[in-house]
Amino acid sequence: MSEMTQNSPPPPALPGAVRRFLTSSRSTPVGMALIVIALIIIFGVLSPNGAFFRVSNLTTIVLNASVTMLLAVGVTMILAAGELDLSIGANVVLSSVVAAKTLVALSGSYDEVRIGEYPHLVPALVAAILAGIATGAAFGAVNGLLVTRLRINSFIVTLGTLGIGTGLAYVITNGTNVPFVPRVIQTEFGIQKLFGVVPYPTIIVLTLSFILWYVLRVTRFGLHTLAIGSSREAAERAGIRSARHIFKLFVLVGALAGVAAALDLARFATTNIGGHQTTALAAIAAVVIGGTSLFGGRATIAGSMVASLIPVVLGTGLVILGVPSFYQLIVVGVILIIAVYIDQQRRDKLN
Amino acid sequence: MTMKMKCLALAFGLSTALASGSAFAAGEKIEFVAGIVGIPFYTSMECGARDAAKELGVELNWAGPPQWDLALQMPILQASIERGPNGLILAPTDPNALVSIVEDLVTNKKIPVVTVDGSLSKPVDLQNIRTDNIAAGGLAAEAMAKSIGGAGTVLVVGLDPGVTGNEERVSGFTKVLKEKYPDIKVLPTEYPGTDQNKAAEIVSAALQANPDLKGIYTTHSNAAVGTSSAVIGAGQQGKVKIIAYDADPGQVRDLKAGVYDALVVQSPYLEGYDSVTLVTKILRGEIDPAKLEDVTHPPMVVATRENIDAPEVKKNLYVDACSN
Amino acid sequence: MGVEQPDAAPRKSEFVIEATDIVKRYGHVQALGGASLQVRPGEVLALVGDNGAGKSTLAKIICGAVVPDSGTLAFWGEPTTVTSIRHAQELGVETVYQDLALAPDLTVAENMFLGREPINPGWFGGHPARLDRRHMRAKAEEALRGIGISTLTSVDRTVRDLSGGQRQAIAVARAVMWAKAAIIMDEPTAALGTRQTGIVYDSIRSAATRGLAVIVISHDIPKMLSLADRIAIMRQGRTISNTEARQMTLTDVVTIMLGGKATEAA
Repeated sequence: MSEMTQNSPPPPALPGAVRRFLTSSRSTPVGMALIVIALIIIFGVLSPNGAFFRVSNLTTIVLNASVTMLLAVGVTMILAAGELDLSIGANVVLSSVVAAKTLVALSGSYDEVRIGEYPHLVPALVAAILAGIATGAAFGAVNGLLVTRLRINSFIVTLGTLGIGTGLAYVITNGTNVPFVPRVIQTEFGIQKLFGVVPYPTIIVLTLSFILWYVLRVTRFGLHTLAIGSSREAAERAGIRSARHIFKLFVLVGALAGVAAALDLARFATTNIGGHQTTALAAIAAVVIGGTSLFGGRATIAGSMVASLIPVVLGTGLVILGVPSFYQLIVVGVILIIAVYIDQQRRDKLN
Repeated sequence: MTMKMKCLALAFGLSTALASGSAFAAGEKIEFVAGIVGIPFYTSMECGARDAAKELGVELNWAGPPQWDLALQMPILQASIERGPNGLILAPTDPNALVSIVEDLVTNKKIPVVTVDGSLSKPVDLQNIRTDNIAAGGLAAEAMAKSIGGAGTVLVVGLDPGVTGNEERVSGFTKVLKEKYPDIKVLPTEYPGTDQNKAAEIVSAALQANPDLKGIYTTHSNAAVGTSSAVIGAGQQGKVKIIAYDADPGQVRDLKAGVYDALVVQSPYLEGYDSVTLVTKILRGEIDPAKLEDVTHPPMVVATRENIDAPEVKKNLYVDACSN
Repeated sequence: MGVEQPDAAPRKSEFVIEATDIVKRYGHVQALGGASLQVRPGEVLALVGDNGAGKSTLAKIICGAVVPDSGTLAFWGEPTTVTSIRHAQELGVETVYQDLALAPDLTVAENMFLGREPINPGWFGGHPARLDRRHMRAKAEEALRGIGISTLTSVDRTVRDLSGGQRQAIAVARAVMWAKAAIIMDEPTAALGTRQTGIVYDSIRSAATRGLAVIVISHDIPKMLSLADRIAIMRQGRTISNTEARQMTLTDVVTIMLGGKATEAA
């Protein structure tokens, strides 16, 4: 093998593989994780009685980040292929409305649900979850068809369906949140914790995220996703049917929005038709901060997961420290920029 | 002028002539343009308006947009004006944009206009009937003081800075606590916007940081939803009292279930009832519009588990549909 | 990595690829007006001609990227309608494109196996299809060594981090690794320095030595005269000459290219 190194630069201080890892964007998740840990330590030390360090606080942080995290993971998959989905927030709203309507309609008669009785709760719940996920997937399929068949840029397509989805949710609900959603889905699941420690929604989000991490890193599907994002031409010439693949990715991210809708419904026991307006932006921001390229080809699910924690860690920590809310906005913005700058510097220095 | 416009003008003139010619008879036509339809608050307002119309024998036409949106309300308002009413009641979705239309109706077309819920930046209407948000905040403060026994730390969850009505709900609350309850410490106001998740995040953190937190005042429904999720999730339901704004059927149910400790109930029914009554009386010459106050506030109540079934509270709770 | 030739069907021809009277029009423009070409196993065929003579179109037809309007294409004497790039690959024909068709964010090994990854089947009816990365790495290293690439430290590096010459080498190595019958190269040295060009020419020769037919499109006529076994010259959409390289001089080739007297095919 000596011939393979004959023309290489003088031996670096670090072994080649380690050095390559540290200088590549794949190390960003590690860098971001260090920043999150540093923030946790700082907040923990500064907070009164170490309130920030409490297990209940840390699990609540993950719970509060969970929906953004799930959507960020979905966005990572679609950005890996060089496409964008701005409509996920609207998708969550529409899917949660469909799920809530299904749940309320099937769990009892109008008079029963009015007084808070739900005789058919369990089958209604199963149907509602399936309806929510199916709605999300169908929403994604529409995005996918428009992008691949009409060949309209996904930025524009999903900007359009963002409005369409929100409008449909308003039409279905007549502009008001679905009433009489059973609170038991919140008390028994949405805010419940396994062994009193890990919130159930968090378990679902972490499981799905791990599966998608595996898909992207280990499987042929993941490699083809990155290949399309890196060079669609090269992928096509290698026999990958990129349009079909991109369609599948949009359905996938849509279905994840459907899951997010079900989790949202369970956590708050109500729909939020006026909400999720900045959800897509928050998810995309987490993805990019985590080290995924906006232009496709380079993607890290672990980075997206870690980065989606940063705003919640900051928000929680600043409230615990008693920083007035107007200053919180400033501090969050400053720290985000610093975090990304540090990560960039670290990689440049090693190069 | 086109033929069509001439016809319209003729029809309009004719209808006003007919209406004024029969002023002694019942049957004045009143248009009611809501700010949004389909939500319990406005449905209650509609019920009040219809009850008044029935009692007074006037013809009421109720219309409004599905969203709180000026662009959607404008064509509905135009259509209502085209129908040639004797009087008009408007819930303005924008304080500035609707001033000139209302001014034209009142001063040039001599059609009495009363506004409800929202208000105009210039008092060109005959009267504005709306909730006194500062007083409502004060009622919330009294309810909070009672719930937590007059001492402890409380948190206020607002909307966004700069939203006048919401700011008044906050300032009315803090003012009363400061003046009357020196033993209650108020944490800095938090602004999660309409994001339930952000509200939950803030309240979770506040619960961690303040073991002595005894009460949370939420000034709008999304804040209430996020807050209740965080409080129940932290196992603090009943220990940390939540005072919420508004009384939708779902919120009333949550009050009874112990999620909320008190609800500040606005009076949409009375806004509807009083505005129709006022316009009718002006049309019939029973009230001189020149002597009206610019703004009037219908009375409000605070609903608790104890008084929720009392008739004077019950009639103010918001409804999905009118009772008859 | 020997050349596996189909044993099942006896060969009907000495030519790996034989194109006859290929016609291709794009609207009113006739790109090919009866082009023909033959290449034997182990033979390097240089395809030369002026810009617009139809070299690239003919190459695209052979590699399955473009379907001709008329004419026949035969592999080992078997007339075949090539429907796609994938189809041509199944017939044993690999192509090195002018733009290389590499995904810059993928590693060297991933690029060399893109679309044809070795798979460890998953647990749910074969799903998920997991990449056999160990096999990919080993084979990629072997293929690179096989064509004498010495400047690459690892097949785990992303293509983005490589020089132009290294990228070219990977594209060539990929074609050599997969080809069972023929390789088509479109201007393989256009963007390279002298040293890198030498490596590519060496790899072309070594591929031919192993029994592959190699078709090279190039403007570098002096080099083609020394590298190739035969020179096919195209002009205005037709092949007007197909001659053994050692019987030609630079002047001959240029004269024919520019419209001089065509030498009959030997």
